[in-house]
Amino acid sequence: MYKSTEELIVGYFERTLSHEEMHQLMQWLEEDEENRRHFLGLKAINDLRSYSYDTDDGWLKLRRKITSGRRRRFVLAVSAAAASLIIAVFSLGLAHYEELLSAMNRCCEAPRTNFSTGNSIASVALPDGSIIKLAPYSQLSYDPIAYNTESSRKVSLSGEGYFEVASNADRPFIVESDKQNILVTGTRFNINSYPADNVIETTLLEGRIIFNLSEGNKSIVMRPGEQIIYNHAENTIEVKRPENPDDAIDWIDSRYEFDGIPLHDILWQMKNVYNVTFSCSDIKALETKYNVTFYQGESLKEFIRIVSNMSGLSCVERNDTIVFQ
Amino acid sequence: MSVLEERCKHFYLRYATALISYARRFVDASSAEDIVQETFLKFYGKRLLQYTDNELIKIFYVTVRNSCIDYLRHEACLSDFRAKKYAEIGLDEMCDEENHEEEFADMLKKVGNIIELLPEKRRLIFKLYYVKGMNSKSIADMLSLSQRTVENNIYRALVSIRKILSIAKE
Repeated sequence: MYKSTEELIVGYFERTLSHEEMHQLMQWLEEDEENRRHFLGLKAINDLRSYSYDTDDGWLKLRRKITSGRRRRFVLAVSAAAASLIIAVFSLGLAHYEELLSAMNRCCEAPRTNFSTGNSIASVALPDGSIIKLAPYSQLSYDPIAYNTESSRKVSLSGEGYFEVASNADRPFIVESDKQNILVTGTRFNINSYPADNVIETTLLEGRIIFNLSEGNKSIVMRPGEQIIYNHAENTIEVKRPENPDDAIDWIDSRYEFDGIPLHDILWQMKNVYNVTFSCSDIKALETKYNVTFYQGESLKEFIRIVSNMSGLSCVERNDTIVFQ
Repeated sequence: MSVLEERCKHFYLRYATALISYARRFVDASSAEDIVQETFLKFYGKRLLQYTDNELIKIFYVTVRNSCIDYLRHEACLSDFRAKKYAEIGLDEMCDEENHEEEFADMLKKVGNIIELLPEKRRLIFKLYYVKGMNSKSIADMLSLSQRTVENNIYRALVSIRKILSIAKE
């Protein structure tokens, strides 16, 4: 659709121009020096525009950045405390949870409760009975006081987690990742959001969730069995209906089953299990499909041996990257 | 909360909107926020405690501006046509402008006065866009107008303001 110059200019200011529209605008600017002067004159005024910005929200984000830079050396201590907390919760029941929580907060003075997994899976029970299974190299954190008292139950996730949320329509449950957040009332779903990846996969198994991007105001209501793949590098969203949505939570059974999956997808998924980077420049090999199952606890060496055997590729290790060639 | 964190929070809540609006003159919304937050992280420490707000905000403006230039230079090398054009136009402008802070404040005030002279409907639309920072889509939704009408009004308002400003200069 052809846009008028006015729309192009306002579109430019709002950064909503498509590729073609940008071309159109550039052409118009080059046509005549007066056009350019006119445009820059308007831009000078537009530049004074103030933008609305949620400073409270921004501050929380900044605080997270500050603490994640600083708190690394505490992680061990906190996760040890967290581990004993989980054990305590299960043995004493939920009644003493708050007491324990405040005791824990006093002893390590962390305003947020953090759970981190190393190379294994962990279960986290939240005060309202919601259960979260955390995949390897993942982190879950939440503010225990706010979680119990505020109008919504908020947790943040980095990595992958499977959620079974206790139903409570009055106090929605929100999972915040770096680039997206989703709002639920009670349901089962899986989120895969390792920070190093450009995509976040959200798979809904049961119930209803509202998916929001952190930037802009895009929301999508998801139905059971749907999967949203959000690529934040390219800013694209894809809604899929996988044949077996339960595959998304295969990792809980400590088993990674691939049926007719191309090698690049296998390596993509398994790199999070071993916390390494795989690389391979043989396009043909990457597109070959395999049926293969890996089990949790298998060493990286074993994984490489299996992949080498099935693909016929050899493997070398360069710095932190495993190169198949 | 530590003294340092308190101080950082205070400064962020007070100035983040202004700094981000400033950065958005040159870069897109999420990069603007990132650049401003990076600046806070860079200064997080002794330096944040040493200076008064007034001293600090000047340093922050300069740092944010330099980070924007670095960012645009980087973008201008990329292949995405849109990003490239935004970067080029942004860089052109940044090189022209030599921190005319007073002029900036003066102009802001003048524009504020001129907005009041616009016809009623246009004034409301333009205030929502310009002062509250809403985008044309959400203004259209809020006022039950077509997005085209909203964009047209924003454009006409900018043109009127430009005219009145240039007459005032002569």
